[in-house]
Amino acid sequence: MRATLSRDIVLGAIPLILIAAVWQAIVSFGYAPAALLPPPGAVFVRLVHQLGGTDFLAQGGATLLRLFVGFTIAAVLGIGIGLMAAVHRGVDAVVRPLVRVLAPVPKVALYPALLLLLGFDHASKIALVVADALFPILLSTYYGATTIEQKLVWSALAAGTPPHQVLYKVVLPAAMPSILTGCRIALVISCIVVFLAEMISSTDGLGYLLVRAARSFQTVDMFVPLISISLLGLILNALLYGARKVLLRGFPEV
Amino acid sequence: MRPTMKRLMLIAATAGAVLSAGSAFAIDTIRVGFTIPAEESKYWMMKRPERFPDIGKTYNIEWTQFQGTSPMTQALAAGAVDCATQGVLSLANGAVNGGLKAYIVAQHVYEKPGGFSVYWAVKDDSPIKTVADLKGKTVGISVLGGGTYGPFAMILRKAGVDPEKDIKLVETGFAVSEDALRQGRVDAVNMNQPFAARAEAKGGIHKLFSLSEAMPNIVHILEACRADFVDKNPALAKAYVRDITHGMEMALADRAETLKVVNEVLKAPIPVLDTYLLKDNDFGRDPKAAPNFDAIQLMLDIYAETGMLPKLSVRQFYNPNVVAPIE
Amino acid sequence: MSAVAGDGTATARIGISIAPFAPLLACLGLLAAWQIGALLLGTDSIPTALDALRAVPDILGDRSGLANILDSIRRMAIGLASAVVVSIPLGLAMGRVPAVASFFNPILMVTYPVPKAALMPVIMLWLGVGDLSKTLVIFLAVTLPIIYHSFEGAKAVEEKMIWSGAAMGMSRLQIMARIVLPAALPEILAGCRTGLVLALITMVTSEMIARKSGAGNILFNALDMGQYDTVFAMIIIIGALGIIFDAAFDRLRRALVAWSDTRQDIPLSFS
Repeated sequence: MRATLSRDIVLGAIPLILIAAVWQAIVSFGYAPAALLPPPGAVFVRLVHQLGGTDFLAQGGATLLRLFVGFTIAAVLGIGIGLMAAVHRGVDAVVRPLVRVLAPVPKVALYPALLLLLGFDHASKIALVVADALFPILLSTYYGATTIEQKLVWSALAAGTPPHQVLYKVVLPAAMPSILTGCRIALVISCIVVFLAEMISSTDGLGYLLVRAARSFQTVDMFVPLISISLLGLILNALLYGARKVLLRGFPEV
Repeated sequence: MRPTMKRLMLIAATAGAVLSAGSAFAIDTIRVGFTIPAEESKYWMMKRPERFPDIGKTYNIEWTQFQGTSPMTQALAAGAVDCATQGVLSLANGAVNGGLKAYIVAQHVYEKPGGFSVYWAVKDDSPIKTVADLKGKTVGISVLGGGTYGPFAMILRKAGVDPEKDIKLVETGFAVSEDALRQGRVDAVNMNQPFAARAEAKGGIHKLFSLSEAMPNIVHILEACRADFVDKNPALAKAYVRDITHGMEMALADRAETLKVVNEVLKAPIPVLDTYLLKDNDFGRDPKAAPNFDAIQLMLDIYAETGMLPKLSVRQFYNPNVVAPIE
Repeated sequence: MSAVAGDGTATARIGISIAPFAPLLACLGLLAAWQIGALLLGTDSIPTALDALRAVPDILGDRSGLANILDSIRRMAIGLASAVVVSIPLGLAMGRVPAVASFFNPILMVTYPVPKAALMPVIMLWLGVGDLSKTLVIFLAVTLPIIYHSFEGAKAVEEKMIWSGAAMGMSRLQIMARIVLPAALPEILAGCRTGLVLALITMVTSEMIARKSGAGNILFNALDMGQYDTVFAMIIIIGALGIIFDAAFDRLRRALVAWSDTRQDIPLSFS
């Protein structure tokens, strides 16, 4: 077990090291001027340096808060609505066409309206994250819940399980792999969207740091938030992996 | 770099090579970045190319629209466009930090005395009566750290308000500024044309102060071309600047047609445009789109004073051979 | 128990009788809610549904407007198609070969959350500001769900089926193509559906910062100018495109996985 884990880490590290190497090579051989693409070393040194200061951590904290609150709301709504639509004809009849219309809408176009309704602070950014992260979770949940075997439901009902318990004792666990896949996609989207919202209009957060640095061509400072969100992706991936292990006991493991 | 991405870039490189080989036989093309809303001369070139003897005959223009001047600075530095609209601050930032070498070849709009000046507005029933009252308030600005920030900060400091500490500054694009003010999301906000004209027509808000109080003749947007492009293609660059000069002359001479041209680009209704465009309450335009280098130098000095930039000379952006007016 | 069953059939009967009109009713309800909401708010930035609907013919009637939208759809189709071709094999390989998953998982999680808008300077440097950079952004957005759903689908394939394939003397590649791919197809298609949604979104958002033509060109232009009727009319058009593409996709899906599910459309009738 430990051997596979360390093998996983080595395998996973190879492409990351390759990226850093290619990045360095691009800079060293002059395929991109340092003013547009700073050397990776400089970015990491600046990142470590900034992690020591409270200001950067506060900005990162604001972004994380928006990310997590937005994602959590989207997950609760997405799983809830998805399950309801899968098991109830009436809900399905309403939800399905609405999802078809609303899912492909570029939510960022609604952001100015959200700003006016909810202000420039957390609420408008969280709302944008919810709007964008909701649909991948909803679609995956719906798919997962509609494709479980009817036999499972019948046998649970036959065994005397009350219908409302079937929902979270049978349907929810059976749909779990699909739901988690949806969550993983939504998590990535949340990362992108929270950044985008902060880039468009904000006074704090990593996206704000990025856009401020970009405007004055402080390229190293611009890549520090980018690297932060990358590392955050790695951490979130590990967390999801852990959550998966707990939630999917008994499913085929890879 | 992911393998898929690498593969894609390889395809891209091959396609690029094939395309550029193909275009060697065609006439020269200049890649130009633009934005909205105040580049009438370029809008004429875009929408009425038949009125320019060279466009489409001795050279072609490939237009790309950008969200503001700052992405265009990046595009210039990346070599993705040859010429683009620039603000004084964005261009200077690109030169200082981005290694961008570019020439200012023409000027689109500036603040003429008595004409429109970007201003900060408050609601008529607002308790804010003077600049000093802004202390502790939320103030909207179109671009944080943008070109208007320098003079804005100067005015606030003069009134004893520290722009860094005493106010909460939020980025409010010009398009939403009026609504943000009316909804009470901000206590004061900056206004620009055509939004100012629309808001004034509706009433209920008024001017608190304008940028012209800090400095006269502010140059808002100008045209810049990459130095390496100009040095390599002097004839092409000259033809382009000649057409900007010509376009500005036509834009000023035929207001009715300019209204139509601007409407085609901005999609703003002509009646709204008619309330300000090329009138006394509009920005100023040089009759031949000639850049006012003295005014630009003055702006660079102010940015240096406010600590936004090191001291710079406008000379590095000046190329006597390729600058409007070219007849 | 019988009461519950009776309820179920009653719901089912109502469900069937309103079923053909449900999409229409839902859309009308949405428009009505929007109309009332906009009237209550009374701000310029949120036009009423009627105002927005009135602006739709202006966009579609204008030849350049239509050309713009078609330009976007063309980029979307290319991005979508290339994403499908790349991500299904990758996802399936990740799902069946643990080493491949270990290799790609971290790199995907590191690269995907980076907002492409922030990488524009570098993207412009290598790919310019034209179709290529926009198609790349669409490609990246679409690969995300398809890779992960293919991954999940391949992982869930029963070992027994793989073994019997191996016992029949199939090579690893044959097992992938003839056992894993069909078995994972429903899940892959679920990923494609999310991919389609993301393709429509990025088709527009890729035109936010630099643009020559496209649906996003119209939308962001209008947004910059505060022409909110046009903004929301464009949103309506994109929503309509969503319905059309989704319906087309659903047909395709049914044709492809007709063998696997009749149950997809039988909601669990115990509510």
